[in-house]
Amino acid sequence: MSEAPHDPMNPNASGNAQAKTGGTAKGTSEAAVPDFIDVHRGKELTETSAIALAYSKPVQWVVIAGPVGSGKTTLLTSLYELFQWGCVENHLFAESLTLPALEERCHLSRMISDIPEPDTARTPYDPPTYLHLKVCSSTTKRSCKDLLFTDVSGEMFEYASNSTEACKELKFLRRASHFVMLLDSEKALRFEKRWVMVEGARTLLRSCFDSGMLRRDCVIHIVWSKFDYFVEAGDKQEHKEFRDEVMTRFQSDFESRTRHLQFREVASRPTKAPNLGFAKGVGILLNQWVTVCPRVRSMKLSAGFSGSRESELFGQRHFETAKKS
Amino acid sequence: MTNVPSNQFLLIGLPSAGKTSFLAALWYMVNQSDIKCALKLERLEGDSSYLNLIRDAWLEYQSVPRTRLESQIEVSMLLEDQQTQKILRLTFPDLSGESFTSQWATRQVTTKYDALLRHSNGCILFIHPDNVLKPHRTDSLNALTEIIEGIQGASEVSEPDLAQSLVKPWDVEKAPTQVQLVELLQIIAGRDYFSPPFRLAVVISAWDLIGATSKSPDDWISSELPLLNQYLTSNRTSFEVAYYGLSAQGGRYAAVQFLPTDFKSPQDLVEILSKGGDKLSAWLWGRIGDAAQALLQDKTSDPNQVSSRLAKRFNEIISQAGMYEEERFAKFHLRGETKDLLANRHYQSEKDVLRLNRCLLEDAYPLNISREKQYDQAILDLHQKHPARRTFLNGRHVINPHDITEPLQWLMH
Repeated sequence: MSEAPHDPMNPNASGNAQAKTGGTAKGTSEAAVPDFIDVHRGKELTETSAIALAYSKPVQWVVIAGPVGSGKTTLLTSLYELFQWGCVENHLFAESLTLPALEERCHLSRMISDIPEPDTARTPYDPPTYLHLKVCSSTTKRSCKDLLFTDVSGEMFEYASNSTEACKELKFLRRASHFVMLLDSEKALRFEKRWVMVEGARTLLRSCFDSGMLRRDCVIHIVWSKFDYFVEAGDKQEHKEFRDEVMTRFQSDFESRTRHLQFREVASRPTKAPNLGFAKGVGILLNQWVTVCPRVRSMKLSAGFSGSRESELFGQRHFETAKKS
Repeated sequence: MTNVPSNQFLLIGLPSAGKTSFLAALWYMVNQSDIKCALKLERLEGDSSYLNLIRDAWLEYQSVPRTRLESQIEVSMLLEDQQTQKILRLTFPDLSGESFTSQWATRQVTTKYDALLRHSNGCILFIHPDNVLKPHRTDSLNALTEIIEGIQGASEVSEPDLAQSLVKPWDVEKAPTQVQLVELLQIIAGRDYFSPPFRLAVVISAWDLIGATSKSPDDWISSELPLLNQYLTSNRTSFEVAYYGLSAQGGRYAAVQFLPTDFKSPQDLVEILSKGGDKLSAWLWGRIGDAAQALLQDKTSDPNQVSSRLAKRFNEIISQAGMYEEERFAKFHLRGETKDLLANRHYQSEKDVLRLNRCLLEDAYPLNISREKQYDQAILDLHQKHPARRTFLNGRHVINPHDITEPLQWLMH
């Protein structure tokens, strides 16, 4: 596939023009008119594409952190699935540049997959990518927000928790408006696992602050994921006391390092306690991500920007058009 | 002097969304001088053969068979508003709808479509209520199963054999309909020449299937395609939208499926099949199944039961593709309609498969299976109507419910 440099003034260059004809006529120097034009791939955005997207309008960068299997992708897909059936906490779905990527991630939780129990595919250990959602308020006209969610494997966070240098490699942390730290309720119910899990989360958060990667105005959400496990176990007094103690430790460690420290519970896919309802607590998180805006971040076009892939150019072109209008 | 169109609109939609039925009815209406229709044909750009073909099928209460022509047709209708004399050009980039699925699946638009879109002021987007794929979640199904288990008793419901269950890989083409439609519109809005507001008439076809619920088209979109509804609500500055429910056929056509009364002499047919004297009969008898064979061959069986059982088994057989093999049908004379269906069988929808298989069996057993399909009262009523009164529109903007051009009028004004 050809990837001709994008020229906004070229009417044929609204996207990469893929030549799929029988070739040029013999004896002529006329270029073959392509039969197809590529449009944006719809896959998860690369770092470059995501930055291009943020050039002309504020974007809320939402980092969802946690070890492998803690429910990072499931949290995001459950939010997307909520929009499939209606508005979420008075927010309407307005746009997504990564619809195919979101769809693929939902596949294992849909009937069409024929899977007996819903599941989410594990995020591979690859460079960070991003998923995009734009939402608008259903009550306030013209109040829309673009959200970029990290799509990062748990291993990457595990390495970052061990080293501030490794943490500095996670450049998205600097841009984070919201940092969501998942605590796995399933592990919390296992006495031999619970404190390792909590300490892992505290270590990661500490590493992020110590490395200078997380800003003070970044909103920190400490979220108990898979909360249906607690509900199924009866959420006894000892469980509540455990969670209170965890909250106390996080407050003690981090309240002075951030302006916003919140504690939440979600059950993205509450198979253990279906009566909680699908994506319990996710709408409340969305509300926070949309309404609490630490600061307006305007990205500046840097001379070094050299993205030429369609997926990288799409966001830039799309939002330059929006800026003009 | 040829009038220059002041507006250009495209007809778009996923496969089997109702575009062709609308076009067939429209082609009929705008060519009639005695029908009250706000838009009339000023001229046609291109060959009218395909339009005449689908118009005739519409007039004969026949479903239009799928052909290669749908994706190749290069025709535009120029329609004149009888009041204002404004001209609009209506173009149909791809009646088959496959290129629109392709936009979602392969992330490419044809240059032809892009060129048409560049000069368009709006679109009519068709959606068929029967072809809406929804994003049903496994946890919803499991919750329902548990409720049923609670009612029926868990012991009656067997556990799925997890060892044998095979997870299907993700198929991009099977994404929910509303997601594909949103992406179609996002692609339009993402073109660098896109100039809002872009007028969009959303037409829900086969509205007669829904009309009895007294939902408005707006409400239907909101409840059945909520993601699309949210997208259009949030992007009002980009898309100016009007919703319509349209019945271009006016009702159901005669059913293709067998009724018990379709068999002229069921016992004779059973004898032919059971003897297996030809490849087709042997094949059919094998598919009827042991239990049905026993009932059909029992001389003491009630003739009505025999007919009913034959109808049931035949309907199961004709619903599946692959009945036709050249060798199996070599000794039978096939009529023109069957041959036409066979020639295009690679482009067929499920309904076309049914129709082909029905025709094949009628041709193979002309003395035993009636070609006169049975009708119910609703279909008889449909036949009584003047073609111009068959179509009807529903929607907030509708003035004349039988004027199929109303969505186009809205687009123009």
